[in-house]
Amino acid sequence: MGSLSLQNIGRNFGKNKGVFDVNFEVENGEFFVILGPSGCGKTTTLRIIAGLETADTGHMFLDDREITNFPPRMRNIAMVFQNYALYPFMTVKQNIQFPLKIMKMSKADQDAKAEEVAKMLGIDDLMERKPGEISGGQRQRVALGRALVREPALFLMDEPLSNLDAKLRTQMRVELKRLQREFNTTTVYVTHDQVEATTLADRACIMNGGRVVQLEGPLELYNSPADTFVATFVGDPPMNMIPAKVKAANNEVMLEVLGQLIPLKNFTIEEGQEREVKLGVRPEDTLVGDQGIEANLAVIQNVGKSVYEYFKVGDLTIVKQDTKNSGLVIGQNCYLFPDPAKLMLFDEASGKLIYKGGKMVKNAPTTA
Amino acid sequence: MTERAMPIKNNNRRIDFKSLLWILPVLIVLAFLDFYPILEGIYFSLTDFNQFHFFNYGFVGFANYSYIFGSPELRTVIANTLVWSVGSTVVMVPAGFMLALIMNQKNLRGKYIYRSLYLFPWAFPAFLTILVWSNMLAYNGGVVNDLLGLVGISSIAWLTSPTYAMFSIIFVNFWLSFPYYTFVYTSAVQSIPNELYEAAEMDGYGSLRTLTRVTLPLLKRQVAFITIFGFIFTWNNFYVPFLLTGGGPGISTQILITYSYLEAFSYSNYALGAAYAIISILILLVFVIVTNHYTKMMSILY
Repeated sequence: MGSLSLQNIGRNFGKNKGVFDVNFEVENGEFFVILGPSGCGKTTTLRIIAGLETADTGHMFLDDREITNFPPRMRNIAMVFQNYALYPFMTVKQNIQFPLKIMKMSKADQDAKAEEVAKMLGIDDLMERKPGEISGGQRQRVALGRALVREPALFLMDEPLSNLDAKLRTQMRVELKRLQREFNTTTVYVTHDQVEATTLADRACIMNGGRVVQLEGPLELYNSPADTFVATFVGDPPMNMIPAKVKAANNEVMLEVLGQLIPLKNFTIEEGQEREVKLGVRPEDTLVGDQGIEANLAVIQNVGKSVYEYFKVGDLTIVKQDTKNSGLVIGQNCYLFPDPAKLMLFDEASGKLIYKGGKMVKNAPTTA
Repeated sequence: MTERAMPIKNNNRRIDFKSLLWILPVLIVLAFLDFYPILEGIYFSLTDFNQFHFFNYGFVGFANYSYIFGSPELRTVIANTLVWSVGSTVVMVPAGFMLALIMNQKNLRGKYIYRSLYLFPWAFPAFLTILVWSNMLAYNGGVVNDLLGLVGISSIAWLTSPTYAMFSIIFVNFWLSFPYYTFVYTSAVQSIPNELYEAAEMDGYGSLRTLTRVTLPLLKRQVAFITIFGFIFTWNNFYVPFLLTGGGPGISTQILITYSYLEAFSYSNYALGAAYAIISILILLVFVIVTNHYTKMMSILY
């Protein structure tokens, strides 16, 4: 068991690639997810924690012990690799025992330990098979077993589910969460899949361009994204982003979007001023009504539990999600408007969230 | 992970002439390059083809073989061949492997420069290199003896004494050959995914343990294959002994292939030369079958 702390960790690969000024703390027993698109630096961060990559700057502590310059084997950290990294010439049992072989531990203890872990993972009947003779999901379990058997202070996982098919992935997600609870191991998990992040994480951080953009509980990432990047990255289909303008005239604050005016409550702006913003509306907060933005229904996707409707508004595509069909047919014109209580506004220049849930966000950039 | 595919049982026993047509080009090439020369060689070894019977040679059965098996030289030559092949293989193949491991270190700078450099001696015409070594190892005025003289060691007859001649040709062969094995092993070493090393590193394995527990087991087949083929290649490597010592002094560095050449082209006893070559091939054939049975090294070719 351990708590991890990263302070100003940086690794520069040049050409603006790498990770920069990464700070976060992972508490004892916590399931921490690093989420981000390809090339955002999430795997590099994980590899720095593992010691497979060295940090140029910053400090790293595991249980209040500085491990910044420790070689990987001194860190007491186990890692599950994306491709499992199982040894093809060893049996499942030998693979699981591999980390124990180097410890001063009797053969009987090694066997008992491997057996115990294998039982928990439900692979105890595969012990004499080779990795080439078992399925992808089973290999995944063996890789987990090899990491668990050591009882490390910290558990690192690099997109461990990405090589599984969709159904198995959902199943393993549940399994992983259960195992993590059972073993109560502090876990840092890297993924590009926001569903994995929201379902697994106690807390998650989003990285973009080598920097941590937002660090919060997974639901907060969805409900109050720090900026347009997080807003569009978290959620599927992504949040609708529409250029808009906030105008204060005649003692009324109005949001002008695609030629329509929507009254805005509690927006701090001086009389007579204008501010360029981005309007963000989740597909489930997009409503159809008698008036609003004129749109044309282009595509309907019915996935059973919900219906996605794609509208064309000029060059923009707006997605609407509901549990049932809106009754419109393809090609039909209608009026769309955002749920006023749920709409979000982002600063045009910085992309930061400034307005949400009917009021201004604390410490939001105020420059017009 | 290479599994041998289960042979598919073919119930259709009729010969399909169209498919014979497709393999005809290969058969023709094989016939000219393989079957004809081999059969001709075997036939020659059963005749009295030599300078005196150049135009009227005839079948003599196993006379050449019984002469060879009765000759006192055969044992020496076979022993020489074994010393030469084993001696060269055990130094050049591991040296190539170690250099390949070093050259594939993740953090090594200037990898590409070294790679070109170590291929250079191998790409250089071998007879020139051997000529240079021949001069360097010369008893009088050779660089090696001159250097030994500086530290007070008296000159050694590297190429002209039976004691040192075999050592010298093995050493020169080692010098000539190991870059090739480095090159071959480099591709084998590079075929190992990096995560396997990283997983071992995370689990606390140092570089030596990683080598014995991960790298070597993963490359078991490749190592067997490269070693055995290195052995076979050296067995038939004619250049070094022929050019450096010519098999001398006496027959102390004669190996089967040089001795076969000696019989055939120095004494113009072609049939006897052919018989020596056939004996050499048969020994190798048995060797390959036996080693393949134990190592399954051929499976990397499938």
